[in-house]
Amino acid sequence: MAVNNENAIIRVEGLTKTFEDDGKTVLNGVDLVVNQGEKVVILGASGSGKSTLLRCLNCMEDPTSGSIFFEGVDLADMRVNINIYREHIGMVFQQFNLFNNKTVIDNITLAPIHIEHRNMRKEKLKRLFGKKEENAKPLKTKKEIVAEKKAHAMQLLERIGLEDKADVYPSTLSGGQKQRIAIIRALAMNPKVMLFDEPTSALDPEMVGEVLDLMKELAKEGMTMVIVTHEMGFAREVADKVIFIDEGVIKEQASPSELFGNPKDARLKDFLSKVL
Amino acid sequence: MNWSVKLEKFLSTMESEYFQDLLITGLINTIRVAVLGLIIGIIIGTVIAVVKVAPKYKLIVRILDKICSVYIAIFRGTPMVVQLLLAYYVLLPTLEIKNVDSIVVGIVVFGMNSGAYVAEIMRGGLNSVDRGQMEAGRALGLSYGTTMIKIIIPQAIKNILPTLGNEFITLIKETSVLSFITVYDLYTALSTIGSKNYEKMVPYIVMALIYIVLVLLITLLVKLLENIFAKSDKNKMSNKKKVKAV
Ligand SMILES: Nc1ncnc2c1ncn2[C@@H]1O[C@H](COP(=O)(O)OP(=O)(O)O)[C@@H](O)[C@H]1O
Ligand SMILES: [Mg+2]
Repeated sequence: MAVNNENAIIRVEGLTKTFEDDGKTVLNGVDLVVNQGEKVVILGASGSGKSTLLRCLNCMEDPTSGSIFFEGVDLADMRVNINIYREHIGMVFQQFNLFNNKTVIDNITLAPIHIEHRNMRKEKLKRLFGKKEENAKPLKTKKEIVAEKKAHAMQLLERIGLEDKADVYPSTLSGGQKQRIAIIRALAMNPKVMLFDEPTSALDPEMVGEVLDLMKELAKEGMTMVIVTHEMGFAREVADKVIFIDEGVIKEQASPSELFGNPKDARLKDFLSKVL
Repeated sequence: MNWSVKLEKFLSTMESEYFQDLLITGLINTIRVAVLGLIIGIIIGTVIAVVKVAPKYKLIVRILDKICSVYIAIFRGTPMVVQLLLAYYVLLPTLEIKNVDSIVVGIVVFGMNSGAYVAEIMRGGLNSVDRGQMEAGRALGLSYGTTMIKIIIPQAIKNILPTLGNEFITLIKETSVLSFITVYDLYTALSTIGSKNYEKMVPYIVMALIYIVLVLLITLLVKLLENIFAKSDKNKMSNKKKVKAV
């Protein structure tokens, strides 16, 4: 059992994943630590299990065995209410996945408003039936919550220069705009860690830069990030730790200069020779 | 055959307020059963469809799934008339339920029958929504149910709007079997008017015309809704563009 006095936000131990429908083992004993503020880049050939590993971190895929400790809590434990932890783990997808039926501002505020409402209702019940606290803060009203979250969302939109897009639907946006909004949608939850699954792979080349720039900004501000990407320049510049995954295991794990400059694993050498 | 005489007869019958009321009552009942039936059908159909597409690793979901399959088999496997007759003349007396208006039975049976068909339509609609939408909702910490209600179902309904329109049309036309359980629908009204002086030809033609008009109106309504939905995706952008162009 991991203890919570460490610097790790995420600690993966002996993770395996076998897909039930075809019985294929995609992850075969992965151990990984992501520390507070650390930027971890995951490399690997297509089909090597990068997405599966990333998606296991917030249990979008249920691990077959092993543990995923998030701040000391094992998310792989079926008794854990995963939704509560996902609030603190932002995820950015290759295909953006903005909600098509919501405007940009609603995309950003939907989850924060919903979750704060729910927490308010819980707190109300607790105060109704629990013992009274003397100087308990007055509860926010629904209106106050909505106003607060909207203001936060507008701030984030201004930050990426898309405040004039607040009321449009995603179908009217460019890929780069969509992905940057997807990133601030995750950011609006004030996550403790953010997961990126090839965030620039579905973009036209001229839009890759704006998304990577935003990610670099987040990195500078100290966000903890786990990033699957094929952008080697970005990995070199931003990563504290680069991981090479192959055949469902981590074959090599090192600082970018070490891993790119002096790769040891034969498959990694082969991989780098193809992508660099 | 003297059509002008027949038409004259019909019009003179319709001069009586009594027969006017009959026709209006019949029309309203027909619309009422179809509209309320469709609403109940959409609710039941959506619930069934959500059960059908839900991940099956929980036992309770698997049990619900079986129940839904039986439900669908029953309501799709028998004609609407049979369902109405069974409900009104078998089920109600057996359960010793009295004082139930026959139109209520009609609405409930239409709703339950429609639910079996809407379930299939809605399942297609839910499956037509990109998987990434559910993933994004879940990754933000929203539950399966919340994501379904706020994100997936609205998009599914938009995708199946034309098919739902067809279901509505089917229901409107099927109301003509309501007379089997003594509901005063459009068919009953015009039949009664026809018996007044043994002149049924014109009333039956009028009946057909009213059904056609109803169906055309629904078709129009669906088109309108589709346009509204389609616009909500684009309008604000084009508005902005227009403003800038000015
Ligand atoms: N839901 C799934 N069911 C079955 N097999 C899957 C599923 N998702 C991924 N896989 C398989 O797992 C392997 C690794 O996939 P993935 O993690 O997406 O690789 P990567 O992201 O490195 O390209 C692939 O062979 C893929 O076909
Ligand atoms: Mg992948």
